[in-house]
Amino acid sequence: MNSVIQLNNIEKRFQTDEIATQALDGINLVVEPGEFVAITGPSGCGKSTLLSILGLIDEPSNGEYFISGNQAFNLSSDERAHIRANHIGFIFQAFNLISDLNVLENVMLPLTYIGGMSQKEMEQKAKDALAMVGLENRINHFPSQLSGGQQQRAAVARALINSPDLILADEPTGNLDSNNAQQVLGLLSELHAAGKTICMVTHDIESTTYASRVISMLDGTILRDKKQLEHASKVVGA
Amino acid sequence: MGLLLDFRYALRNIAKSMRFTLLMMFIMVGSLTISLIGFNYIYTVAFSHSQVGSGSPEIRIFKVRNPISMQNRFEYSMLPQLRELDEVKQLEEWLYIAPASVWVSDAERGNHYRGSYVDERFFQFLDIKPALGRFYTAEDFVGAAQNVVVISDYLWLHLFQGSKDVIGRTMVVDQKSYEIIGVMPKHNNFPIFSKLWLPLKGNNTAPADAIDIIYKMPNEVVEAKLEQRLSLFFTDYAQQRISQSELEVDKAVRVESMTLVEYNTDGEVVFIFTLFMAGIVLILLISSINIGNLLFAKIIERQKESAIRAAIGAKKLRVVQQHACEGLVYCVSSWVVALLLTDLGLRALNFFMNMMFGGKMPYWWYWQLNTITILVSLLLISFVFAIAVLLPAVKTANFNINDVLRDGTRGATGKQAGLMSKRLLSLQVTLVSFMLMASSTIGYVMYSMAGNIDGETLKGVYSTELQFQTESEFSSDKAVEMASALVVGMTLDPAFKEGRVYQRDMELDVLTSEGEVYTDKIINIEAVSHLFKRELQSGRNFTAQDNTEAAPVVIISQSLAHALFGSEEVLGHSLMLRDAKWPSAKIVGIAVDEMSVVASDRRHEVYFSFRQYAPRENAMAVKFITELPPSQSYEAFYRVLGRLSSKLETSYIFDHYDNHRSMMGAFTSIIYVFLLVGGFALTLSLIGIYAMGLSNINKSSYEIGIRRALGSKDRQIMLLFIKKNLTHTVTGLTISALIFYILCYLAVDFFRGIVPFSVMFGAGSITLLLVFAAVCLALYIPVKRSIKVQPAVSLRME
Repeated sequence: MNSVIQLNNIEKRFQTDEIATQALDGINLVVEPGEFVAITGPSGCGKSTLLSILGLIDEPSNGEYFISGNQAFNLSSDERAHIRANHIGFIFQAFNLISDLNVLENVMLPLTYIGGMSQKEMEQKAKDALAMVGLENRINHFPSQLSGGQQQRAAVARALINSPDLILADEPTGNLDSNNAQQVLGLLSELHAAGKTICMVTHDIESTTYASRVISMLDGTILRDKKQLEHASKVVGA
Repeated sequence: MGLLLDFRYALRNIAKSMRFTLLMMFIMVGSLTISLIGFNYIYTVAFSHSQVGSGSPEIRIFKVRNPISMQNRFEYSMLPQLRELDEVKQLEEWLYIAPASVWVSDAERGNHYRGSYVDERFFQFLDIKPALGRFYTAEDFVGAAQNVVVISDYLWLHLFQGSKDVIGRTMVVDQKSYEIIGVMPKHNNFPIFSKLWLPLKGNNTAPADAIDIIYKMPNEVVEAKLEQRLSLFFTDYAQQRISQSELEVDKAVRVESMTLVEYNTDGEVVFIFTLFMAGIVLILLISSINIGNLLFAKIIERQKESAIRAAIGAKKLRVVQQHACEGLVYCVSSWVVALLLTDLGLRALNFFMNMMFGGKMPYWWYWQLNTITILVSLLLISFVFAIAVLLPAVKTANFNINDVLRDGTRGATGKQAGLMSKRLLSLQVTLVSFMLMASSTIGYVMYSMAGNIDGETLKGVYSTELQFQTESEFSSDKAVEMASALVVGMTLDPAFKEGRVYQRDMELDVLTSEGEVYTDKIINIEAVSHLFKRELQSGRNFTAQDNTEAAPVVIISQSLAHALFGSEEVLGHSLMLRDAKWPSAKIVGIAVDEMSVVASDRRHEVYFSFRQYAPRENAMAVKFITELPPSQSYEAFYRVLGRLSSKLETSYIFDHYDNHRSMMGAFTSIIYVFLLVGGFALTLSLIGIYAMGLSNINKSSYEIGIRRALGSKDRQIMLLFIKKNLTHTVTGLTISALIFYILCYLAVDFFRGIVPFSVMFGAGSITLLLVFAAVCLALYIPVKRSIKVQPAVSLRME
């Protein structure tokens, strides 16, 4: 079976004026389908940079990246956009919903970039996704009319609508209170249980217990890569 | 599907930010409307009468540029030879018309009008149908046929009050009765100033020898050959008619084929039109930069949204499309509103122009929203869309998603965007300040020139040109005799206060004591007829003894005497000339400087006597002064002219006072136009600068919050941010000032000292200071507003 993610010796350097920062230093990583990977580590260790590279919103300085067996480096901007639209779902810490679009429009937005569907079909898929996250009665609300937890659930629905091979979550609970954080992590666990591959960046130890594999990073390198079995109980418990 | 969604989103955004929408619409609609009205105005004036008759858009006319003699038209006597030229034979259709000035009178009064003698093919050639009655048939040209005339729409309305029964009525033209058989349609008046058309029955009835040849252009190759052949033909003809001593072999006549419009503007219509269009494009460019900058700022504010879209799969084109949709909505709606306003504006323009000038306007000065204006509007709005919408949308789509999502609109992307915005601001300030400096200087110069003009000195002053009907009738002696008789006639007639016949365009150069050609000021050199009396400071006027037998004598103006000889006694000295025949002439009189209508344009004067310097060309100028109203003055002049033994043909009588009033009206209108356009451009610019200042301040609100939290005083913050934005506006002002001053320096020669550099420098500098003050104000207001917000609020805004 093809791995969802394969990183070979990935490096990322930032150069600002006279200061060079090595954010990632020779990262090798393989993520198999159906894994729920939590990437953790202190601030500035390079976990968000790694997630950005995984999500094709940033480019490595060196190294190779394969997504579902397809080469994902040295691609044009449009080719990367195509992969993002069809194979990746994003969940951000700050939700990143578009304030001038209502919940339904926000969720169906990725489909408009994929194309090939009627408005009715897109709306139906968006409603289904929203029903999955329990927001079916909020479809005409604007982001500002929702609570933080609801906004993040809408963002999860948006990440799911294109049936992605990979869901990337960058501190998804970072802006939420504990109740809403539980709900969102529960949702991610359900998606994992349903066979989705998830990579989540977090520095919350509690959140990592939902993952099937925990990668700890320090100074741009992987310090520890540990599979854990206890996560199943969390799913059941949720 | 995506496009529809983007439009829906764009509409929602537009409705949400109504103040921004109204601002954008104001700038777009305003600039587009002004541009379209400006285009339509100049196009109507310059081009709209180029198509005379529905079927003859390709009618051409020959313009003669003759440096050998003063003859600038073909002559009737040339026709037999012209017909024999191979190049002329290739022309399928051509004909000639004879322009004339005619006297139309009834029992009580008369007036002169420009008319044309035409042959029976004329109206068919132009493919024109009469508005009333009929045009000529072959029978009208038979020798014994009754005299018939076709009148213009203008005469029909003004002499016959638009009466339908005008056909068959009689009018007296040059003391002969003519039956009116037709009325020319208003929009087909050709030649453009002709008020009536008389049948050209043959050589003996032609009123003058000069003719214009018009033809339909077969193709450009034939036309080029024709121009070349006719130039040679005319050069030979002109050279044969001057003496060998005056012959300069390197001079040649140039016969140019022109459209009717080019002919009427002496071939400079394209230049004038281009100049106006450049002004229009400049205004549009300023507003496009303005709109572009505003949209740019708006897009930057929403860059995080674009990054989110890109992160979830939107391609670059889609991001551009989303922003372009919003711009397109602005453009299309502004275009529609601008067309409606242009239509209203043109109707108002028609109303005011008719109120001001009435029948004096050429027939084609009718402004309306036509196809060409709509096409131009599409072109202009496409230009705005490309510059103001597409360019910023494409430019801002090049962002790093990661940077933007992490850093909001600040960081590397924000800096890049800010730089572009500031460069645009510099460009905008450069353009608008240059335009304002130029327009205010031109306006000021025109205003001061208008102030210098003493119009009352022109009351009752008229001038015209005289010539013998045919070249064969002309001789220098006869010209002197006729000129003298005319001056005597005017002297004896109580209607005239003063009258003189003279010849200008004398190819003489006055030399200084060092033998250099005097070039400091323009010198009017005239040969004047017998009985010339000028108010003298010293010396004497010409007498009958100043003839060819005597040594050449000259009267010069006191200003020239002072310029050449200083405080020396001038009488008895010789005026040195660069002329083979007349190397010098004895100064016998110093004339008091002739009052010039423009004080700053006072010229030197040199007068010769006709008896010594007889006219060598069949053309003399007449200037006369009366205290009568124009129509009675014309009548008195024709009365005196009619008593001469030889019939002299006159051109249009030029009423200096009437012309002065029209000129002043035009001056005032131009000054208003400059004020309006300049004011609008400045308003646009200030709105743009204000909006950019506001945008920059909004982007920096977090920084302002931090600085204030750390203890910075409001004054320090204000100075800091004004300084930041001022750098780019000062750059723009400096560039424009440099360009402007260089152009002024170069323009001094062009104005021949009438407008000194100091005046242009002063007017430009004052404008520059005013623009600078306005810019500072536009930058100050947003900063002032920002410091009213509490630091905590500013910090929370981030």
